[in-house]
Amino acid sequence: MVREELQATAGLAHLDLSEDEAAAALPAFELMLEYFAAMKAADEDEGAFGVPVLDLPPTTQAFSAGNRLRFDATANNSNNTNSNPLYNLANELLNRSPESENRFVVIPNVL
Amino acid sequence: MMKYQSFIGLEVHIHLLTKSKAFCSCRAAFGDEPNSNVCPVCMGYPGVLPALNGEAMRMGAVVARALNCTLSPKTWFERKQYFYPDMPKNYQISQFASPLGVDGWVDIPAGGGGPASSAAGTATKRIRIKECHLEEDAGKMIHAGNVSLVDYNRAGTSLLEIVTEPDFETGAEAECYVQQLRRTVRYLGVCDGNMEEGSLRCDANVSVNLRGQGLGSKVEIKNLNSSRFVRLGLDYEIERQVALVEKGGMVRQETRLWNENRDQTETMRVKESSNDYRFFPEPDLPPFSADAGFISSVEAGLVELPFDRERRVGSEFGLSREQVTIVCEERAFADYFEAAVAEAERLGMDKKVAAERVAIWMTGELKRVMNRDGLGAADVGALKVTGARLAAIVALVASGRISGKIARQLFDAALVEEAEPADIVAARGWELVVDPARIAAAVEEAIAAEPSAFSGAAAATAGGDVGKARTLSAFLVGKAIGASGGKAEPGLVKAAVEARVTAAATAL
Amino acid sequence: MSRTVLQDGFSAYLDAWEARIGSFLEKDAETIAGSAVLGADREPGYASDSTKGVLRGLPFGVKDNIAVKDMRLSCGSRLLDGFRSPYSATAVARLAAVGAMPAGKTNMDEFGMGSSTDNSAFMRTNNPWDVERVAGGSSGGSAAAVAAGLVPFALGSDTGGSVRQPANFCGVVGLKPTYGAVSRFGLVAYASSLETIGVLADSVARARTVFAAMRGADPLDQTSFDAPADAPSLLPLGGKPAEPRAIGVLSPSAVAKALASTLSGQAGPAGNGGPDEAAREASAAAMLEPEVALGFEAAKEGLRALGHRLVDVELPSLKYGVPAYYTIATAEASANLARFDGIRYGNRPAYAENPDGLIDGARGSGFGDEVKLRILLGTFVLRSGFQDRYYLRAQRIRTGIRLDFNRVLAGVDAVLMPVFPTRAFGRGERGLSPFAQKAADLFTCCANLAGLPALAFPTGVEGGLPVGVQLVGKAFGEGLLLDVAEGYEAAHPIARPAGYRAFWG
Repeated sequence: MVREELQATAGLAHLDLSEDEAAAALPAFELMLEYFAAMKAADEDEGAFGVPVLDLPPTTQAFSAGNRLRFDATANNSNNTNSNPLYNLANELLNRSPESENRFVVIPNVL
Repeated sequence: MMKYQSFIGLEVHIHLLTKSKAFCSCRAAFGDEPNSNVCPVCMGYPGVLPALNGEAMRMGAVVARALNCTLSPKTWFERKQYFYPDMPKNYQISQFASPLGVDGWVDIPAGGGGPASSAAGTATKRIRIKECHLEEDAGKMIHAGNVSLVDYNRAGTSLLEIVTEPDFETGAEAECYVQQLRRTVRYLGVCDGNMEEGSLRCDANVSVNLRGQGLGSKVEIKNLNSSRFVRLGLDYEIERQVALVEKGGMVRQETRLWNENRDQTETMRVKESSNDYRFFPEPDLPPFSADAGFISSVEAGLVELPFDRERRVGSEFGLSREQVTIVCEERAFADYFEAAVAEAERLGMDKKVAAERVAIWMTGELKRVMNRDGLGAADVGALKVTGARLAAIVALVASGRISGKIARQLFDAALVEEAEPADIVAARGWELVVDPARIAAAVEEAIAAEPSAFSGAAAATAGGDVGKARTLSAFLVGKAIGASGGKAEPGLVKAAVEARVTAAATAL
Repeated sequence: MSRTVLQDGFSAYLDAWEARIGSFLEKDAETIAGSAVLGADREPGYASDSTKGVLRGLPFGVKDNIAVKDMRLSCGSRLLDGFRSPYSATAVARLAAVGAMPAGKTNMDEFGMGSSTDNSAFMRTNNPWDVERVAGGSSGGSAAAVAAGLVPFALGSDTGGSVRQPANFCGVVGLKPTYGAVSRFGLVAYASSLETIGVLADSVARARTVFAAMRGADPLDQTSFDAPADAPSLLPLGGKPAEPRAIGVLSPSAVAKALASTLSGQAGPAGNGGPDEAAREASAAAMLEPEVALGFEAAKEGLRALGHRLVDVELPSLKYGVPAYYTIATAEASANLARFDGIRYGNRPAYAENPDGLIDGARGSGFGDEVKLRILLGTFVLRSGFQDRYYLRAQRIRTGIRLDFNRVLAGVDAVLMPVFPTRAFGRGERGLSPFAQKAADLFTCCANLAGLPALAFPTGVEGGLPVGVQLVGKAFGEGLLLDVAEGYEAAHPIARPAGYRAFWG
């Protein structure tokens, strides 16, 4: 079961795992999943949490300090462009693409 | 068709008219040089973080409220994960568990067709809006031979996805909804509604089943990039599915594309069961609670919607249904109308009369000129002839200070000159002559020039030949106006001519 | 300040140490040597004015997953070999604004995934105390560079202990700030909700100065915060003794015992290595090495002697910390690392037929084994049908751990615990298995799960290697932890490795 799950997971993650690589990764993958599975004990471990862990809401962020919104302005219009390190980098970014042409990023697509 | 029931749900994506993208400060614009509006954030560079645009949230919530959705008191974003070359992070920041707004509705005319609103009593059908959620758009890929070219200008721009329940039954209903939604978002000023440029995109899901049997197996239709294609594509698809089921076949769950050249839908991909988006809450953005300030900014954005406005403009101003439809096509056009009428009233005109005259101008001359110049109704604000200036022209005619013919010349002049109509009239000497002495002089000149016509009119009047008397008098009026250089006010001239003819007849 | 104390021998000193420890992937030797012309024109990208500011003239190392404009940003990965950052991290810019100069990029475990820095695609970093041993990880390069005196401080990132553990291995101070206290903008994300940029420094006072300069809300990171007005002050002690505090002591042996009892008997999904293999290995990995235990007891004595009140505390939820931590960290990592596809930047295979081939090829050949393993785990725990069992359960446990810390910290000012069960370990047979290295994160990862600040500081040397402890405090309570540690340092000066020379004032 786990072997197929590993390959299916590798497909979702776009990791090009060869048969050998998959076989090599499998023991560590299984061992960690086994370790993760031990979390099930927490469901009924009121000693550890004071309450059943299933009654606790999930935490996705440790703290929340209220709403954070950005003012709708373009970096180019900002009066203090130096304060925004992302300002005016388009050409620099394009230069970092492994392949580009006429300002487009190029990728292969053999039909 | 009665044997079968069809179910159509629509997913409409609209580009919000924010200045910057949803999560970075890059310009959100269509048609710029490829990869010019990009930064490390929207290019998915290492180390950067999204920063949520407050205006995207506000605009999205305004649409949700306009569609009668309930705003979620607390919303957040999720990462929707799949790999695609035009999606820089290989996940899309979207909303899954807590859409901006949920459980709304809109009414459309039953069976589709014209606008539902204006005619009171028209049967309507309620379409349930499942949700409105905010997300980021992807870039664009162009296929060129054995390579693809990727442009990330669009990547990260703010999209609102509006999802309906499967409440439409025909292509016409769906088309009507899309047109209505397009007008609504344009009225709200949150989207330009341009389907050709992809600012408003429509995907559909369609299923058919024996009536009373519930939903059938669902087919997704993409590439419906005009409201007409929405109708054609869905009608085609319903027919296709019914024919399939009639023959005892099964509808395959798949995604199909509308091919506008062949007027048919075609298989794009068969639904992959392995599609697993692995949604989880976006850890880089804190949750958002709709506080009082936010809610009031949303409520402030809820302008009167097309339907309501049509209904009000129809009854308040006494316009015909056709006039209402044209006047209310765009919010700017309707604003122009109401501003013109208000100004004409201020200038002393009766409201209904003013409305009628302004509507005639707007649906006639104004529309013609705008069409000629390639302007849409929404661009009316760009004209030099503002609503107030149109009102001035209408009032000048109503007060008899210029003729209808002069009014058209005046309108043409006002289109190109940055000047008040009254000033143009004065500068050109277009004002009608109303001075009794000058009118009388012109009338005497006409009588002197056409003595036989004058005596004939007097004789006909005395003899009770009303028709002949009227014809000859009108002839004299024309001559008198001519004698004034075309400037004598026709009503006054007519009265003066008639007075002279009557006096002469009495003397006979 | 640095130039006046620099001596001619520094370049040779730097080269000699680097040949032995290999802490930098890229370095600007001139900046480090302080021979560069100080002035605003030198680093136009930072608007820096290194003639003023509390850190004027001081070079610092930057972990190679933190962006410095025009410097490499490889994250220790082949996939990003040769990639240079077009922008600087907020933390780096803020340090530059007070006169510090980024002097190079330090080695690390690929994308921060590891405890030894041996998972770097480029080179090994050795421990300055014993070059046969690792420097720890994942911020091993930063820790080694500071320990050897090559820079006075360095930036690291701490996702589950990656600042504190290498600091502990190398005998330097390691501060993991409160989550969000320092902007993450410019930190290449591994596990976004857990990690912070942290400081590795040659003294507690230096860590304090650096942290004070970096912290604060940043519009480019909407999860960053300003400290509340009532947060403990960051003003230096200035030689005064630290105020006596109530310090909760977590008993390491109790934790290990709890682990052994709870985690055993849980059958794994496959049972490949026996049903309890993971549990057995995990509890074994949690046992303190005798030298570490000795160091811990000595630190308790030292703190007591300084007038602090030590009370025993328990954190029963801690035993679930590591699996919950790795579930969350790998889940977030699987999404965070999805952007590395060889399309817009980075390295792509020489030939591919189509986009999928390109993406698979770039990732397949660009990522190392440990990174692939963690991406696989993270992808798996988020798959539909598995989320409840893994990801969601881990996030609930995380809530429990937060509440557990809140409960304990309501009664004490800080919690004292070990940093890592062992001192710097060796390689191969003398090392720890990859699984044991993960399980041994139990003392560090919980502060990340709870978002709390934690400060690791050296307390002595046992068997020729540094040992130390960590203090975990209340959110935004860095000042209090720094006070206690600075007081400790005043009484117990930090030991330095053989050959160390103090070049930095």
